Amino acid sequence: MSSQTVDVMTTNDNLDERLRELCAAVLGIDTDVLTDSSSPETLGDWTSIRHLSLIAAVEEEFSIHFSVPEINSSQRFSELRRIVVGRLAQRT
Amino acid sequence: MAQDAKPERHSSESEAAYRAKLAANPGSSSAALGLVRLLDRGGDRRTAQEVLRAFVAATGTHTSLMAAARQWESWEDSPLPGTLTIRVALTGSGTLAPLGAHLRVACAQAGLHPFVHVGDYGQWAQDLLAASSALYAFAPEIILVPLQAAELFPATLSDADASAATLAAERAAGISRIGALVDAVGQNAPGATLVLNTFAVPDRSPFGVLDLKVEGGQRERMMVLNSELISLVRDRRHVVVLDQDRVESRFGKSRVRDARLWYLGSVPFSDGFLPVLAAEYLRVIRPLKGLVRKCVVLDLDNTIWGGVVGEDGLEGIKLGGNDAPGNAFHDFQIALAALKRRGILLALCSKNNPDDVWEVIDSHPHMVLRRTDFAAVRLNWADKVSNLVEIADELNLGLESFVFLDDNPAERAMVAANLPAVLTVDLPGDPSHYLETLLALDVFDSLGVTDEDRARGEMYRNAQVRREFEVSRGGGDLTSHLEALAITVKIERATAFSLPRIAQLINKTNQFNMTTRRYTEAQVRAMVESGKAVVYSVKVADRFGDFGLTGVAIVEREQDSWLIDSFLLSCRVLGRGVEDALLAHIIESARKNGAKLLQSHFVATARNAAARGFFAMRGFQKIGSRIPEDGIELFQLSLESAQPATSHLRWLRVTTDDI
Repeated sequence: MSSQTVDVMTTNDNLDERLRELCAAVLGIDTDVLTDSSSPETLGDWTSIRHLSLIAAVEEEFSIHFSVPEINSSQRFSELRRIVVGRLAQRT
Repeated sequence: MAQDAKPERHSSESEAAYRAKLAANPGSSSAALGLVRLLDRGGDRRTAQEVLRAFVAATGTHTSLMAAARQWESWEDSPLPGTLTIRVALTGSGTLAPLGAHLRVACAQAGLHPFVHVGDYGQWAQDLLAASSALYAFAPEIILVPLQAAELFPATLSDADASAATLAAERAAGISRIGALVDAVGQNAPGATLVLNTFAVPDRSPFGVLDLKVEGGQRERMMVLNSELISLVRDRRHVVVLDQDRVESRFGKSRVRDARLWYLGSVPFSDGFLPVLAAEYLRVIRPLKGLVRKCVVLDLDNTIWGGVVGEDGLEGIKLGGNDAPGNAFHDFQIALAALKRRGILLALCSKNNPDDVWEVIDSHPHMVLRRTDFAAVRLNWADKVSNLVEIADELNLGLESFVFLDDNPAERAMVAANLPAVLTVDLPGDPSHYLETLLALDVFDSLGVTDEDRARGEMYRNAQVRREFEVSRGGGDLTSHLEALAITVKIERATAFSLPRIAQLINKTNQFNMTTRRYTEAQVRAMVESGKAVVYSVKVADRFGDFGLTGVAIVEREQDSWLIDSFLLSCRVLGRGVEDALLAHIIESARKNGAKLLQSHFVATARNAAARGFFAMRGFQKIGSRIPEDGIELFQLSLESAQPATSHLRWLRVTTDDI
């Protein structure tokens, strides 16, 4: 039962939702606005300074650590999710 | 289906759904923020702000803090009526926008509506030196300037080969730059408080283990630097120095900076340290806005000693000695006594038999706190909520001035639920941690300890003796009673010595206060120095002791007409004619200076009922509400017809230095 719960928690769907909510909260936008191709170019609220806050929030939420190249390359929602999924997969 | 529903119904369903989701998961940012936005769109911003504050308090995650910062930013331009606001400007070394976001939230969590201005990267010198800068246009009440040694004193910090002459030159240049900032702020923002910081000694030295052995090691250099900085601003009343080194040590210096953020974006502080630093700045901002706790209400059994005196007796309770937990309770009492010396009142509220309690307090060899240390005492079996309300009444303090310390979670829950204004502290289960819990509260700070603070405990004891005297005199008419008190009143112009206390009184007096206008010490000083207004202080004493400086009036003087901007008196001296003596002095002074008219503002608040009717009863005519939406009522008195009103105050001996 409990191991099933853990499986559910780590499915990509659930992770996608958590990540969306977090981005929306930190950037101050509605989740509906956020798409896979969202980036500082498409969202005015996604400033370079707020990106650092976003990474801090993601690191705290998922207990992971980004390298400087990863912080730079994650300035697109799909890429940010790819890095988080990759990190969580490494851990198991 | 959703399309059929009416919009109102739809939104109330969503509110219930959000609330249910939030109740099930208090950390859900989507539920909390969804509810906040829904309430806000529905016009209930007050509740929206309550929900947001509760969410931040319950989670404290980086996500919730950043989301709250965004939300408060969107609310910035429209503060709710009746809320206290604060205008914070931030400029200094590195990228400070993240600190600005955390400050915004920290102010909001303290109940202040925040206006925050963050200077552009690298612009601090221009921001502060140019009178026309955007920073000054923002009209800040407080200007925070976190400077980094890496920017101003790079050789001092890390050049192990630098000669003494090089270091001295760098130090002199940097200190003189800071001196120029201090002067510029004094000129360009005369009412504002400037917050500088010490330069932290890094956690690693370029001299390695020999740092303290070599001449001019890193720590020694930083100590000299900081000591020069402190001397520079010691006598500058508008400057506060935040001890950055101490704050960083407490947090852990190796975690203060996040190298990635520094190299990527010149952000000088890690995400973990930012809320800690913001909290430290709040220790200056809160007292600036009068948000200070003034009284600690203490339980006894298992709170200031171990065990239950009613069962264990004088010899059975745990207090003092070399064993835990008696030694921990002893240290806790020493810290409480230190608070009392800073002017914080102590009160007792315990369900106990008074005789048992007094036996311990008067005769236990290791009691630090004694009978005379307590300004108010409630030893009974009544509920603590009523007792706290009574103590607040007795001490003439609002409940927002109180801190409640009790080991019993049930008592704490009762007080927290019924008196949310009281700070109810979650004491840890183990008394070993009481001391650090008390020390970490950081709610007792004031921006200058005044003589009145130090003597406050004694004043309240005098009040107890005074009450006994009043009881002993029984009936008798009021005048002879007042004559027997031998009251003296001293009316003086504000001086550099009295300004701190005057500002303190302006910011904490709620009841007998005609306009409840809050001014910082720097603002009052600016008024005095510019000659824009006359600031009067009133000192009161009687045969039982000194009340100290307990009244203030601020009067704007025009040729023909004087205007009372502020007029306030501490409740402790009300009802003795002191307020009439002060008004009579202003009337006389106005008349002597050729004024024909004395006007006064009055602003009704939830708490100044005691002041209502004062001007009308002294012959002033109400001439309407000049600015009705601000609630300012205007009264005036023609000085050509009015008679001096002191003749009936014959029990007062009034002296003045104001001619």
